[in-house]
Amino acid sequence: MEKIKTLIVLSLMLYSEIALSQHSHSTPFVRKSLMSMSTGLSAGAMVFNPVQEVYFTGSFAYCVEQQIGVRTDLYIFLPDYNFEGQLQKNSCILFGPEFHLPLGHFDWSILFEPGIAFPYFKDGTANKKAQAEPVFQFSLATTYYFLRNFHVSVSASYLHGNYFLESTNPYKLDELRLNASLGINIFVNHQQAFNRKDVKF
Amino acid sequence: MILRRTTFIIVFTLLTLGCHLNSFAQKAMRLKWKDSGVFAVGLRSGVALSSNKGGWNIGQGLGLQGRIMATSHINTEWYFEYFHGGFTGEAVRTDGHIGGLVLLYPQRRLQRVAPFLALGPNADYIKLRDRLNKQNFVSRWSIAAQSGIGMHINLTRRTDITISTLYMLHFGTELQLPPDDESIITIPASGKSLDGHFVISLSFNYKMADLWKRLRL
Repeated sequence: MEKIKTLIVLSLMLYSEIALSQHSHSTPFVRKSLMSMSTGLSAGAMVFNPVQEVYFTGSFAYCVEQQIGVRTDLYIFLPDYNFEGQLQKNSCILFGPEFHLPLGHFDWSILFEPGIAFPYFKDGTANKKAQAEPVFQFSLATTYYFLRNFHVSVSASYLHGNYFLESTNPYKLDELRLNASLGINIFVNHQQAFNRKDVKF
Repeated sequence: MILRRTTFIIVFTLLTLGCHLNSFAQKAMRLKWKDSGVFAVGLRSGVALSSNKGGWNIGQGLGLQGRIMATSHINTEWYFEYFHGGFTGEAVRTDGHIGGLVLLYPQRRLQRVAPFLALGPNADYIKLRDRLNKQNFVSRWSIAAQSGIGMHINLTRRTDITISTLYMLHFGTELQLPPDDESIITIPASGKSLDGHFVISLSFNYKMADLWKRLRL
């Protein structure tokens, strides 16, 4: 637990440093109208259960303002049936704001994404349907943009949620996740909405 | 204990410092036209705190919302949200709300931080189920009203983060869930009068358009 705290403090120190250095760089790559899509892999370790999980991830993000974007993330659970005691399903979809701290071709961002998880634990429920559970995830991500239309990204996330299966105590879905992804990006909407000409029929 | 407190202070200070430094880069809130007619959409997340004889119960949830500004002092908010959490040691509670709110701004004009009073009606759905048996549940639809305070933190001219604390009062019939032969869980806890709960929300909103005039932010 102390290691996790140290990591969080170090991450936030780095975040503050980048926030300070942002003032000296006037033309960051990330700006309004940047649309990006990426796919990758994520590894997670549950905080309150001895469970490790792997996900295939997909994300879509759009910068609605100079430093502010909206982003949706899809985590598709990759099950391992050889291990007993693991969750059989735990995919989730998340959507939320992203706050960018760009620095040249680098971008450091923080995200808060509420969403829905679809967990299923074979030994804990009477039926085999996955259950929808509200969750939220807090993430810190670093992205590097190259060749104008590509980017690589790594992020660390903490997800919080509860899975109310047929048991006295809920199954805590709290999880630390590390994600690596590769994606493409383009700039769209070069004109502000109110500057575009009206469509006439 | 001291280490935990020190860690919390360091984390909070660093996070605040980062956000504060970045907020300098944003332009001030400035509208060319009057605020009336500005339409915004948002995503909300939060917790519902309900009490019973055993103490407080926390439900976690999320929802969507839209806002239409009526005048420079009055905004309207339309939303639906969903909460899910434990209720006592024997039940699981699900809450669904769909409704509207009137937001009243005491400030002369909207500023970076805009506090508000909120008041409004909604339709409310509650489901109580046995923790050990999903098939054992009771539910009801009712009308409700909520009121409270909150504030917008305008990050840029179009986006804001809103934090609010509201108390919701339900005008519904009594719910009784018998988890086993010996005990019974009721809402309201006393089995009489009104029941209610706190809703603490955090939302992110984006001003999409000016419904009356063209938006010139």
